[in-house]
Amino acid sequence: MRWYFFVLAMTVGWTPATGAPAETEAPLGFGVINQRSVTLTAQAWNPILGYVGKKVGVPLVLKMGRTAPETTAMTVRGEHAFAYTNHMFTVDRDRLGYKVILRMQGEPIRGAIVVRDDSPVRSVADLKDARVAFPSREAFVGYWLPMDHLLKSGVRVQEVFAGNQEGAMSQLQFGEVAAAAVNHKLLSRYGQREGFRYRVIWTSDPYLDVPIVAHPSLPPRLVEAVRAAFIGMAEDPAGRRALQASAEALGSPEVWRFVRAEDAEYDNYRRFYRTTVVKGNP
Amino acid sequence: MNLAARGTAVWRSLGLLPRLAAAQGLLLLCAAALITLLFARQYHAQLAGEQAAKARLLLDVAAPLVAEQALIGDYAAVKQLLERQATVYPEISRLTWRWNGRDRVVVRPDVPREEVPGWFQRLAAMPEAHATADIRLGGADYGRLEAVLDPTRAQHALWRATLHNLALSSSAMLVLMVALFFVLRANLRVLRQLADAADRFRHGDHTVRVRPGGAREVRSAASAFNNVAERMQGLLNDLSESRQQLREQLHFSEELIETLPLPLYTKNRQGRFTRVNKAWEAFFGAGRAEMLGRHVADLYLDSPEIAAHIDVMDRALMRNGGLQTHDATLRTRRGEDRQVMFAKTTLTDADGHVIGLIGAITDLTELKRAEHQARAALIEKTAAEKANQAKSLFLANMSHEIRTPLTAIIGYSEALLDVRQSMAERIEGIRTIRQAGRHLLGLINDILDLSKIEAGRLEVECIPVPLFDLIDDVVALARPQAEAKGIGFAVEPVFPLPAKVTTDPVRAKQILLNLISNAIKFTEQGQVSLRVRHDAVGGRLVIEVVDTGIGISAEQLVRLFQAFSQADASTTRRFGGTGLGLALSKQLAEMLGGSICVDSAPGRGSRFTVTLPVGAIDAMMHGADDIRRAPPPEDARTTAPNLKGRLLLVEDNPVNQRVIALKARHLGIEPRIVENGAQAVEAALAEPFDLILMDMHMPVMDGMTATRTLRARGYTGPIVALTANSTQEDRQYCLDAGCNGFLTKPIENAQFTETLRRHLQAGEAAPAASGEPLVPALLWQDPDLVELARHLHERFVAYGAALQRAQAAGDNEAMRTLARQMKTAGPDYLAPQLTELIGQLEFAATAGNRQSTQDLVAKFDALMARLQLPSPPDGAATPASAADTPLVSDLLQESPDMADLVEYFLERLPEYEASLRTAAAAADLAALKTQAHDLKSVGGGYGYPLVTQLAIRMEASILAGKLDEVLGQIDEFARLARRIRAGEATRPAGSQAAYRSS
Repeated sequence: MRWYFFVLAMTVGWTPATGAPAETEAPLGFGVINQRSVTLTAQAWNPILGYVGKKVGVPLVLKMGRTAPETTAMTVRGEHAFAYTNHMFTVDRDRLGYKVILRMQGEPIRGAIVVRDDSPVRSVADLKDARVAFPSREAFVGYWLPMDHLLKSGVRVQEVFAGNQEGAMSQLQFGEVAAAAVNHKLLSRYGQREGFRYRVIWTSDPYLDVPIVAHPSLPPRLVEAVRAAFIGMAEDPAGRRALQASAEALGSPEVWRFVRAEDAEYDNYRRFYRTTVVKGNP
Repeated sequence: MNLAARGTAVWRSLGLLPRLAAAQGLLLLCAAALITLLFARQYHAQLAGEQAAKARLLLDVAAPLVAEQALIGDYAAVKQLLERQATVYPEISRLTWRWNGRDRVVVRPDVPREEVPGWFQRLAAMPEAHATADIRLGGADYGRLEAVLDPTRAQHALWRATLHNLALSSSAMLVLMVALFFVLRANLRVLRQLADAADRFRHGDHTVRVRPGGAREVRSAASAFNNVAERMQGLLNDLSESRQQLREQLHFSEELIETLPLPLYTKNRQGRFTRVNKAWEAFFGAGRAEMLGRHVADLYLDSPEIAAHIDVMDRALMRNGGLQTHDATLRTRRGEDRQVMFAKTTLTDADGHVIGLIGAITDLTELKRAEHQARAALIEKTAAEKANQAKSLFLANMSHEIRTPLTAIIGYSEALLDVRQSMAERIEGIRTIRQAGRHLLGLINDILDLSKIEAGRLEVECIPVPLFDLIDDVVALARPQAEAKGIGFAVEPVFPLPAKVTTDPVRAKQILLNLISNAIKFTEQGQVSLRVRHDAVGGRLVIEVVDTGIGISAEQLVRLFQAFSQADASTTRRFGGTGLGLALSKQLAEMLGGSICVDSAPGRGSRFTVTLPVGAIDAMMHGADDIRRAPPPEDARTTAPNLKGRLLLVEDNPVNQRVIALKARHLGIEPRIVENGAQAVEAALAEPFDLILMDMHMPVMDGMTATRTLRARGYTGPIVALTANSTQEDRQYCLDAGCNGFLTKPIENAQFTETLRRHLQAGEAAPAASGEPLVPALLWQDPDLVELARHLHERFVAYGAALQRAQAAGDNEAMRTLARQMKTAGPDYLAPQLTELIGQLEFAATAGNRQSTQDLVAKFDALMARLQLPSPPDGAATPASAADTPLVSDLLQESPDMADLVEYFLERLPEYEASLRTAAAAADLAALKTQAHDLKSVGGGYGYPLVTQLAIRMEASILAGKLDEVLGQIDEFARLARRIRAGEATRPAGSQAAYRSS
């Protein structure tokens, strides 16, 4: 499904967000980078997308691949009108023109290298030639930041890709790897849920959390309507119910809250990609 | 119908076993079919449920997987997934995923065919299991999944299970049938045996029994049959025996009735005899042949009133029924009167109607006689028992009566041994002992008299006695008793009275004293009177003792004169006494030819009347002025006679030696004392004696042998026996041995004086007898009690003055009061004659006999004038020669074994002296007085009368407050103490001389 079909649809049948939702409106694709299993991601995001779709009058449909690269590829191909991803700041993809409109409220994220609590590893240097799990080669805080640090520190490791953040932690938990590089923000929640004791040996500089980006071809009114719907969710009883359902699906006591974000706030990502020694694409 | 009839016939011909087998088989078959059916139904439902559950489970598993693939859009993966599910569940006939209105994926696997009979498929038809599930993720719709499961495999499983179940049920039922068959066959065998045994029992085989076997119920039935058979066999045997016993009992009853000694008879309703036994025939002297069928009137032909009475009673019995008893006096055909008791009851037929009566006659004639005799015997026995009880009670009382004075004697004797006692206390103790001893003597005399009377050995004499001498003697003793108790005593002579009566004065006085003592004892207030009158017609003296005491009940009067009996036991407790007095008095009165009777009622006092024969009357008294008393014996009435002569006292006991010697010295005789009969014989034969007093019981040679020996050797001098035995036999024995008389121990002064007077000559200077100085009796007992004697003497001198004044004024009452006071002031310690004189004076004053009182006051003065006391000792005047003479204790003179006691006193002498000097230095008169008083008591007690005399003087000086005199007396005491110590140092060599010189 090409993005231009959507654009066409938008131009023909778009009605303002304040109006009643059009029954015949064609759905817009919403990509979510693979941080969790597909099913868990769907259970978390579908209630939110359902609410926002109803609010703006255009259905938002979750579309994602089995892995992050697949999903990122789908975004790059323009299959997603909106995407919850931080993979679009590389030099090549930045050119596609996706703009940051929203982010989840919360502290900036960091990359972290963790080992098991009982591990003899004390510093990054101890990880030389060790197996280190990463969510995927595309993961910014999970791969790019730690790998950049490892490489710049002169430490070469055996890369093990677990598919996502929790997968990397699982590899560490079950002793498959000596260390795991993950989003620092996920650590405590995972450790608490799984009863797993770990030790952080390195953390990166802070970066704002994964943003929701909008395709540059989307009408600004629609983008603003979607942005407003996400921001106003917490104030609307229906929106709160959707956010609560999402939190319950994830088994998290914290309820997501979306806040406005500006594209310039993510320039540090862009700077990183320009200076990194890590090869390939996220 | 034919078939049904044939079936019924066949069924009836079957035994219990085939019937049970057929019925049981049919029932089990039905049960097996039903169980199988129920099982199949239940399993069918279970299988249907399982199919549905399986479909639901399949969808629950597959739906989320399909959703994920649908989200990604991988349809091939969905198809693979559904096909994999179809291989897992072979029952699946179709699986469909439908999304957005069209079937996206449909899977139709081949379902294998199973062999199930068509009829079963139709019978247990099962629908396809059909289930659908919506596929949603986070509220987003991803279509619907549908599963259809084929029932063929389930039906096959149901068919196999049903077949298996049917086979199992059938096998179980077959086994059950076979087991039942064997069980029933075994039990039915026992039932057949039971039926057979019952049949044999019915035909007379009573011994037949069945061996119990089979089931519990069958065993019980067999046991029950055996028990019934056993019981019935026993009952049949008992029945046979009972018939035999009944016959025997009937025969026995016949014989019993006939042999019973009790006359028995029966009568019919008309009152005619229907049966009598042999005893009846014998009792009445009439044969049954004669009397059966006859009326009672025919039995008592001579006594129609008896017949009528019996007939009336019979009719009443037949009318009222029950048991009837009544006494009657019958006369038999033999003419004997018999006291009988009829006991009758009605005879009834089986319906309870009275058909007659049966009667028994008990002859009570002998029984009543025996009862009468038994009652008489019982009365006699009761009387004997009462007498026995009285005797026991008497013994108890006697024990008490004897113990009481003995206790006093022993108690006071022990107290007398206590050297710390003052002389006054000692004298009081001795008086008590004497009193108790006299009481004991009186008691023993009473007992002896009574036993003598019972043994018929009491002798009485009859001598003429002046009547008022007799009465005076009695009154002299009785009046103090009455006055001591605070009640009045009066003598009421009713003139004219005979001047003399011929009787035994001792016994007559004994009777009267006894009655008067009793009267006083039982009188709490009022007075006791002695009335004397003369019954000229009967020639008798009638003396009444009347009191106002508690009186005697009629019941007590009956037993009053029985020996050993007081009014009741409580009387003894309340008033004391032995219960002997009245019995003794009555018997004595009867022996004197008189009698005693009593008239009394409770609360109204008593009157005892003594009648005594007067004897020949030579003179009558018509008033108080005619009263002439016998002249008093010259001995005791005035003073002790002064006798002379030689007296030999033969006595082994030192105490008796001292007592008798003292009495003899009192009469002016110094006896010679020997200790046994042999010494007496020797002494008497060596020199003649005017009198020998011979104790009967002595060691070496007793008095009896000595007397006989002396008489045998021609000794003719008077010998008087001294004996403690006072019976006539003893006296006779003494006389037979050659004694001229006897004195009974303890020796009374009067008897002793009389005896000595009889055998010895009077002393010289007879006129001086009345004017001879008398030494106070107290000093005879203890010459050192001169102070006490002086004190007493002074009191009586004062009494004498008062008497003179009262007599001058003619005041009898004052004289009587004075006499009573003097009696209690201890005249005995001055002179025994004084006591008697005072008693006579009291009587005379009471009787108002002026002449007598005048005489007696004169005698009193004369006697007092004769009393001579030693002049008061004067310590200062003590001869210097005696001042240093050693002093030896009197106690050591009497009994040297008192040395320890005397030594104790000697040790305390310095202490006394020091205490006296200390008290004198401090001018402490109270302490001095205590010390002097103490010395007064102990000095004499330890055998130093000089110490006592000194102490008496010291006490007087202290009382007078003359301390200088006291100081001198203390010095004197120090000198005495030195003499005493010196005496102790010289003992025993110089003791005799020292004593005499003191």
